[in-house]
Amino acid sequence: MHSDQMQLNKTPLAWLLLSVFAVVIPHARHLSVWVILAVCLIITWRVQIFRGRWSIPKRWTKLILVSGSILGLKLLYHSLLGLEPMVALLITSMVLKLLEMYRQKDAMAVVLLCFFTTAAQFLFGQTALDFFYGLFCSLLLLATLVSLNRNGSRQTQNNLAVGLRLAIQCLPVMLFLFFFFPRIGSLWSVPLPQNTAKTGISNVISPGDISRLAQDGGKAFTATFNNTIPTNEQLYWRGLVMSEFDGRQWSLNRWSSASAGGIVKWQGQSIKGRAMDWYNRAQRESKPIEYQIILEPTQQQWLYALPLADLTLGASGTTRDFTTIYHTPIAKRLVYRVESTLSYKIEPQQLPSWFRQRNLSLPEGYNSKTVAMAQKWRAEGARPGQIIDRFLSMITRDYTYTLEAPLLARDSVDDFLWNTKAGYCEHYASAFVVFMRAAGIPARVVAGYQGGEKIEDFIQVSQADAHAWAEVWLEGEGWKRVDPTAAIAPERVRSGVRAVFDRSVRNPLSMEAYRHIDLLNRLRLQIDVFNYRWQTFVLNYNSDRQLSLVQKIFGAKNLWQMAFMVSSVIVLCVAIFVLLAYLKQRPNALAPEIKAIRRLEKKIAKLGLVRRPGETVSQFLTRAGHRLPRQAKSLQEILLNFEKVTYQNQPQHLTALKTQIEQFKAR
Amino acid sequence: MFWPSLTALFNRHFNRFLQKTIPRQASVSLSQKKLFILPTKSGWFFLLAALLIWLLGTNYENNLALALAYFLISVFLVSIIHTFKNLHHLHVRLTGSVPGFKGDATDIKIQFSSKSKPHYGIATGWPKQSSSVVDVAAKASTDAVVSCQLQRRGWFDPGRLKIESSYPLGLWRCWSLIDLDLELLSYPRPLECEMASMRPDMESSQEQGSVTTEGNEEFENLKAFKPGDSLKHIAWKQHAQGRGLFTKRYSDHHGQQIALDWSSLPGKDLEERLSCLCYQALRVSKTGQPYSLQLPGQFIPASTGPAHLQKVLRSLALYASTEGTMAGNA
Repeated sequence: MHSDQMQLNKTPLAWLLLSVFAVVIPHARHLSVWVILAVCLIITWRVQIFRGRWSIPKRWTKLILVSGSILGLKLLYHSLLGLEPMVALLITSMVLKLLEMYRQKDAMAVVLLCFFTTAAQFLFGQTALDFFYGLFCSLLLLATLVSLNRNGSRQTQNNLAVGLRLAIQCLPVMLFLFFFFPRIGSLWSVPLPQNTAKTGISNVISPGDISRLAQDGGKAFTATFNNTIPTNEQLYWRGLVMSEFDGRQWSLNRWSSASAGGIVKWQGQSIKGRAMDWYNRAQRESKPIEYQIILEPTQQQWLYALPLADLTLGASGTTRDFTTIYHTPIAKRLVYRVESTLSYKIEPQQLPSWFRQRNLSLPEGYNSKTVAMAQKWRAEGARPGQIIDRFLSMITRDYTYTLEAPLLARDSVDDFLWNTKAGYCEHYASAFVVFMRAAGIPARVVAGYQGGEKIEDFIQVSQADAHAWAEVWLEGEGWKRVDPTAAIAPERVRSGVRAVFDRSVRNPLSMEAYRHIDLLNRLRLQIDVFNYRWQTFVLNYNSDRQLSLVQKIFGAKNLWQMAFMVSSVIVLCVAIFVLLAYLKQRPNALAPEIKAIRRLEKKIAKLGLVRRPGETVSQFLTRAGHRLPRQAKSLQEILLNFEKVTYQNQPQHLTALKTQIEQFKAR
Repeated sequence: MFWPSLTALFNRHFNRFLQKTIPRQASVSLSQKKLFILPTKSGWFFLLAALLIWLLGTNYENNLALALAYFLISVFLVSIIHTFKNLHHLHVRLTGSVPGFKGDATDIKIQFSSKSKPHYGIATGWPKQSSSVVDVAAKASTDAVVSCQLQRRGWFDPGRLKIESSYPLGLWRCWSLIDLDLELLSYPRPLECEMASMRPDMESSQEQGSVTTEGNEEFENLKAFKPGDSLKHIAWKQHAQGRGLFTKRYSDHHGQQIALDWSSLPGKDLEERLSCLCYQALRVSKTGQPYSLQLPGQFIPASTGPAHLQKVLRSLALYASTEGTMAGNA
């Protein structure tokens, strides 16, 4: 038997099909339904071939299958170059290989493709669950390999147990390599997941959007502060600034939208000339606080941070509205450090006229009642500060704060302010900004998150914390945050959304929906803590952390020193192992009398007299005595002493034996 | 020109090395020195897959993909020990071999026994040939049969036997080339030929056979048993019928001895003559007639029975087969 030519038996085939099925499951997150159907069909086909019900595909059938699947993928994904189509192609080719798998060699190819599929799974999700599931798949694949290699013999032993034992023995080696094998950065640019839906706050806000998002739940990001965590009222995580209003929905100004080539000061870009002047018009007036944010992928560019933020992250930038963005949509979890100055003044002196105009413009023919009211207040001679206060005290009286706001008519702000009088943060923010603009005060809507859930030593911000508020520009003070929600529902800002709405999240798939059930809530918090640790210790382990870990352990200063240290540790380990193996292998140390006789043999060997194999010491010494008659007597004495020590158990003669041998001269 | 001489040089040195580390022994315990281990083709592909996954993890800066790559690499490394241990301390013993005719396949029986742990997927065979697979349970023994093509007449040494296993993962192949001190007796290949020397005898025996089938009296072929008659020739049927103890009268009927004589086959070369004699011996032994064998310098007196046949075949096998041909095959 050459094992790779063996036919496949039932047990290995069953293991293999099980593993194929297992590795494909996590990809259901992104695979098209058609691919999943094809996978199920082909696995069924293979089972039926084994049962002898269906036939093995002929050559032309295979040709049709292969070209058909490539064409199908091309139609489904438009191009085969993205990550999703490539993974779909990998999975399709893996299951197609099942149809022409006759021998063990083919099965090995499928197993390797399965390992690839598991690796590709991690590109779409890196939670602890993903990891343990991947580990489980690897275990199945090991069991499959064991089963394949016992193909010729009876499969009595538990293949999974063998695989598990092997895997457990592998763990220390794997951990060592993981932590100490030198990390090098990305070698070339690679396609990232694309077709995943955008999550979180979108770049357009209509009335009802934020409340819908808040009810969906789901994690947005976690923040870990170096020192003390600011109070909940200070946690305004700025994301997007919206200054374009079309009468119903707020959107990004086309000039500030980075993807449309808006004004952005990128990290590392020097500030030269008047074009970048605006960047220097922000005054930081307190000591910055430092924290780290782990942002879940949103497929959008916004980097959430407390104002006024300075990021330590390559390829990030600051927009004209002092929000922070990333150069591409965020397709994988992103970690960045931020220094935020909570007390600041942005452009306190003067706004450029175009900029001022942008933050004052209102669409013609919308919300006429609101505009008229604002102009009336303005005509009464009130200063901007007074108008703001008057508005806020107006809404404090008979307005309600609710997640289930009634639908609004065409003039949404009019309908809300003077008719329904019930809404969520985006209603208040929108109405406030429209009112201020009508009153001649530059104002804009800011979308982001407010507050967060404090779990152990970090803050977890979920979609339930999504929030919209306003910023107005006041001369001498610059852009100033005004949150109308704080006026209508101060609890929301002071203690977070969870204090106001006991069950804000309604999505039955979100764990946050079960906050009211104590056990489930505690479980959720435990999972969140575990995931947070997982992220900080496993997923964010990179070359910097590796270096600091190695520095801590070995005191190395750079990558090369580290490589040297690590390789010397490996060499040391191997050397110890080899030495132990050698010591185990080596025959027991010779007895001293035998050693002495060996010395004597060497002396006699100089005269060409060698002890033959199988010749006893006495035979040899007698023979030597015949050949060397002059020394026959001393040889006789040596033999006598040797026999006393060895056979009569009289070790006191050992010294005599040694001296005799020492003094013996072969002549 | 250069390459073949290099491989020949390597083979010579390797054979010398093998003779030193794994000497001829009918019973071998596979110790560390006697085992070799290298990755299989699948093993190399597995390593390649691990490296590709590592590249994937590095490029995507994906720690989990990296972890998987390191896991696969450690699986590759750790399975060395497992594959090695699977053969380590396995005891192999030659239990028997059957002589055969040159060109035929004969079976060699070997026994694997385990001291303490089970051994799985042990394949036994000749290098570069297919082999059979057995499992050996802990503290038990298992028999395996290896078939061997007898390529030469006389004592035939099939060379070193390969014991291999790639259990548990098929990533590494551990093997040993053991010399079980095999000496297989290979008879000349029977060659159909004129049986000049025995033709008349054959005819007479056929005639007599026709007489006995015609005559209805079975007693005609029997004589009274006397001590010394072979037990094999006792007419047990008649004895069971209570008619007394009789001996079948083979020898009397087929009384004529047949002489298989080397000199009766002139004009043929040595191997052909031996093959002819072998054929004749087999043929005659079926009739039950006694036959003798005359080879130059050797004479085996006439007799019958399987032991006689063996003796005759053995001398045919060993006739003029030198020591050199025996050992010349490694």
